Amino acid sequence: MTAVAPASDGRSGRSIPRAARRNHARALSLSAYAFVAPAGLLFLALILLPLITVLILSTTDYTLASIGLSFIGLDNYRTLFTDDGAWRALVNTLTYVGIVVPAAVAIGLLLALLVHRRRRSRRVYEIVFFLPVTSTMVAMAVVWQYLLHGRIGPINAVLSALGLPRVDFLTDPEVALYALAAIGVWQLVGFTMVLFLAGLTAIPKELYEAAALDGADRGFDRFWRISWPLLAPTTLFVAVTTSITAFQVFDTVAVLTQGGPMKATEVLLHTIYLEGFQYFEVGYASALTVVFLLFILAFSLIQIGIVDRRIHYGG
Amino acid sequence: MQGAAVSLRGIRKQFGSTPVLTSVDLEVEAGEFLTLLGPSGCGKSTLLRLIAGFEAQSAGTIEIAGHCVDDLGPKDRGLSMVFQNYALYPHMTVFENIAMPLVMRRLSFAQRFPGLGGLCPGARPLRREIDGKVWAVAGMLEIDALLARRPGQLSGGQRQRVALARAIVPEPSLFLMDEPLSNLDARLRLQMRHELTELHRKLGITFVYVTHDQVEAMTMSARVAVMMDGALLQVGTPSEIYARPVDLRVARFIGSHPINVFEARADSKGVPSLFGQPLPVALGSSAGAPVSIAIRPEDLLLGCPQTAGYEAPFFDARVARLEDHGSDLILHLQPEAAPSSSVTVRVEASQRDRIAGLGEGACRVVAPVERMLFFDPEGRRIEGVAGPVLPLAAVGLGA
Repeated sequence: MTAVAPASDGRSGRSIPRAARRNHARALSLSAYAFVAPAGLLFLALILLPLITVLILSTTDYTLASIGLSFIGLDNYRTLFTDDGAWRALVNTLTYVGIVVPAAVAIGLLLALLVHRRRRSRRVYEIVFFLPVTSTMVAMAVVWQYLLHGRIGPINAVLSALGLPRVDFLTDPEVALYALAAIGVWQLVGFTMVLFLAGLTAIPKELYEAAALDGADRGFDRFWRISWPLLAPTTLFVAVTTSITAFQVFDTVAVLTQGGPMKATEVLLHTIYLEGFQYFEVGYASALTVVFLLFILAFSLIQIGIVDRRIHYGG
Repeated sequence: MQGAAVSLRGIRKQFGSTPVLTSVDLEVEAGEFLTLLGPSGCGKSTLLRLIAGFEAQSAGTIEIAGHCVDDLGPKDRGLSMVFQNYALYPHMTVFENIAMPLVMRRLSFAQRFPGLGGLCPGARPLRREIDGKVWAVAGMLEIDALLARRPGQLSGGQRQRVALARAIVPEPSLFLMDEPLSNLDARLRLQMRHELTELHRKLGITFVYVTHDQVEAMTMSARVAVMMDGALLQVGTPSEIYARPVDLRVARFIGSHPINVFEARADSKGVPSLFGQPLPVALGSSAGAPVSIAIRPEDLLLGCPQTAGYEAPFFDARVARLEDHGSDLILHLQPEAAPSSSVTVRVEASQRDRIAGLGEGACRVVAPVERMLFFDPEGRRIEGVAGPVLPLAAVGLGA
């Protein structure tokens, strides 16, 4: 891909004239831009421009299908911070993330540790636990609706058979968010388990052998001194990706509770959807989206900032 | 530190249906430096891993210092190991790496518990003692300046020293090494070879060293155990292995220039012939059977038969190629009687002038019988009995 410098003055050999060398350098940097261009244009069209559009819209009173719009500055954000519904959605989302991420990471890690040593049955477990990841959440939500149903659900049948009171999982405001969180964990655990399994497989066998000689040959010592620290990069990745996924919880809410009962399961993405596509308040929905994105960004940066400093061992 | 004897009896190992070791018996004396030498895939590393306890043998028993260790885990066998890729803990500093075996052995579970261990009674003095030992070993291996670093920040040679320090610090009675020098460059390897023999002398413990590099085996160890195809072929001093190999495979494997092997047949009296020329030797047991005659490149002489001091067997050959190695010259020859085969002769550099004249020309190669090794078709060495020196003219090959 090197551009050939023109042999301007007829001299051959190593004394390339300065002008030719400059041309050569310019051609090189031009070709570099040319190579970056396709990805750059896509990034611009699909990510940067929509983002800028959302930022601009969030400072307007634009409603869907209206002809005109006017700039109202930060009014949307002011409304947002005084709007009880928005606060409720934010708190609910954070609660949901606060349950789902630690649970999905811990259970996924536990499952990976259990499955890792299996030889023949490992494949079976991997498939069984990974299936929820591949399934369509909307379809699965219907199944969960049946499972968790207050009267006909099998889970309540088990509870009453054990002599425990029935629970209206999806209609009790005290319980509904936790029921959705449990479904979220169920869907994410297979994903985290597979990632942890990959992380465990990447730990060299010799390290475990060296540890066995040194005395850390089983149980807590081996986990605490070898597996866990060496899984740190995996754990960071798992934590960031599950947080982002958990922040985006939407389909279970849309199918099972529509944010109810009494806004007990109202989450950010569902609020944005309602404001933007039910009430057509695009300006306000855009402001909510910006806040939503800032939260995801901040969350990821904090995690990376805390953990990243300590987990890269330089080979 | 006291060296421990290792005794392997009837060791077999198979992975699934694939046999890797077929009945290995080996006695390693206390304080000895023994090398397991063999080509890759011969089972030497597996044998070492059995001694370490990483895997269980399919049959046989292993004793260390007179005690059967078959039911003991690696940490209870009183041994240390240096791995080929060092297996340093990448997330720990050099100090923590070296301290690890002591922390795990000296401190109780509560005392080493993360965070709270320091509060346990007795933990602090033990920690101080461990610190002292780590510093002492690091000083001995001259890595005390590196203690705060992580393995990722070290060069190959430095990692090697850290691995050694971690292995020495628990004061083992047996030291296992699995190709520890193979990841170093040639210069450093030479230096570490010297340092390891020094370390062995200083510590006085038993070293079992695995390598495929015969130079390492020959220069470092008191005894070499040659393994091939999952079996132990010969155990002996380096000079025994070189000069008196018991098996043709050992003869072929040892030696930086491959040994010359001629296929021949003994006559009814057991007298073999080299290129049709009967040798003044009798192989009683091999009468009428095929034999392999082997002779090292430096044992062949160029010149007239009398060079050997008697009428030694000889053959004429053409020089196909000459390699000048500086200190010596290697000649690749084609015998006139069998032009398709190749014979290697090594001569001292002092004879360079004499050899230079040969060029593409012919030369006479003298093969002293007392330097020859004879092997039966199974590859076992057979002792020749010096027969009557036949007058060469009698067989029609007079000079």
